[in-house]
Amino acid sequence: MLNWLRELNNKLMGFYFIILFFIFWQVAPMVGWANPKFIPPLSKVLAAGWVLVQNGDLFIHIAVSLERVFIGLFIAIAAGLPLGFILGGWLPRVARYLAPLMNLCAQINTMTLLPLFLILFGVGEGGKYSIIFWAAFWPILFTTMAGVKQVDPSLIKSARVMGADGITVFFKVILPGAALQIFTGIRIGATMAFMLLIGAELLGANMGLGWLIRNAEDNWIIPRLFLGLLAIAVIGLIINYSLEWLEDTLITWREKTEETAD
Amino acid sequence: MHNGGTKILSQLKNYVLDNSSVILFFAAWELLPRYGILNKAIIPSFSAVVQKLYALAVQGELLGHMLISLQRAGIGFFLAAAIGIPAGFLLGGVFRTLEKMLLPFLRLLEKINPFALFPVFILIFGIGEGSKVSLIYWVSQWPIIFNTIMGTRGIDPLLIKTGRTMGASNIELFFKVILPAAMPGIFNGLKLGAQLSFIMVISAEMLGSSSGMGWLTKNAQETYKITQLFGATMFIAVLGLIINKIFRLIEARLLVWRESTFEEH
Repeated sequence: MLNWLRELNNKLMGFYFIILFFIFWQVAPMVGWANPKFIPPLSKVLAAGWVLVQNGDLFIHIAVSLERVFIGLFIAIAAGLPLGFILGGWLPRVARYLAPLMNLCAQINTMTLLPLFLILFGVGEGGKYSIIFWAAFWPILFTTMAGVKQVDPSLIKSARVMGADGITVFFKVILPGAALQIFTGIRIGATMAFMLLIGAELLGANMGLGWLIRNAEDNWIIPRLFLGLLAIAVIGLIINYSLEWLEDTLITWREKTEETAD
Repeated sequence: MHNGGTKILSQLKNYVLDNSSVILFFAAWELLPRYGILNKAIIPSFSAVVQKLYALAVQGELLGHMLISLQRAGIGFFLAAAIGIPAGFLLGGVFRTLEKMLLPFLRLLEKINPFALFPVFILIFGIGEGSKVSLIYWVSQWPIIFNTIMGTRGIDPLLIKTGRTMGASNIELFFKVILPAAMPGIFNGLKLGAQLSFIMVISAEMLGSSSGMGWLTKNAQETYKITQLFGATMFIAVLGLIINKIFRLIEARLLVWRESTFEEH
């Protein structure tokens, strides 16, 4: 019994402070430790959220933001994966030639480029897709190239000896071999994309979660401001953890083969 | 002398060959707008952008905004280091149970979107310097705290025990054993923190400010000063690259020092 309790305590240890934080958020403005005008208690924030849930506005903003992320991310994957395979696998000399330019581009902070992209691709959806694409493209490209390069050449050779053609080698050897790294790239890319989208929506949009915050700030609807922050935090975490979960479930076979190999 | 000259020439040749893709990119940026293949009004040529930057620099405007941005980033970064390193030592070395309880919560806080936090910081700290510096501090403290915790936790307990049996006091132990052993981790945190503080100062200035490099870019976009927009963006990019480079150079020094101590033993 005591052991069981101790185990439970160990598991819950990380949650104590999180729970404490939310209790504190509720209590502090109520007893006057924080000015409720600036920091409304959690219950008021959630009440403001309930209003937006009932009239459906919250879901619309979430849907608009997620659509932007997914479209930008999709373009980044559609461009980054094939390019990564081609540069990493077939054209290593071209990759080496382009490496300085690619490193230069990837090092430039994406938020810096936002005003430029707004001019080049428009302040509407184009600017947002392009900034999300840029943020997600480089990690996806680099991890794909690295993933393809670290596939054991003897595996490819033995597959060829067994009579596999190029397509079979690609789908049965190279793709599974590089999958782990590619997934990491997509996860990093998606996280970056969502982060930057909020920045882009704060700068200029008429919908979406970033706009929800900006609008609440401009109109001094403070509970809604905190609600937007809470919603963005929760959705960011969901994106992060669901991709981690997907990675774990899709790539379990890799660990298994390593175990049997030992 | 002549030999040295050819050596420099061959080094230059290698450098040009290695970076030919970058050079080609800048050449294309110069030539395509000039010959009308790209619209000059939307994408001004490289030389026009450099000229505009030079004009801004001569006016002193560029330097002024740069100093404002660097000052904000520097204050935020300094705060993050001054609070993050001691916090990391305490959590990683002294209060291990507290660390276990606090770490998931801190990881959660780290993941909160900084752009979404900015309006809240404005609410709490006002639209002046307070909100910008606190946002920079907030974002750059996480890698510093986490890397200091990692560095402190990763110290070989045998080293500490050996120090103790040799009669070292707590203070000696900290400065002679713990601090040098945790240094690579701390430095890594500082490097990431400095990069983040530069990113965040630009972002914060775009979102709400009337001065600094970020504002200069945002303002150029809003008033359609295209050449200035390209110039400011390029200038920020180069500044960011320089900051990265400085930290990489210091890190190389630090690693050499680390290896040499290992060689001595």
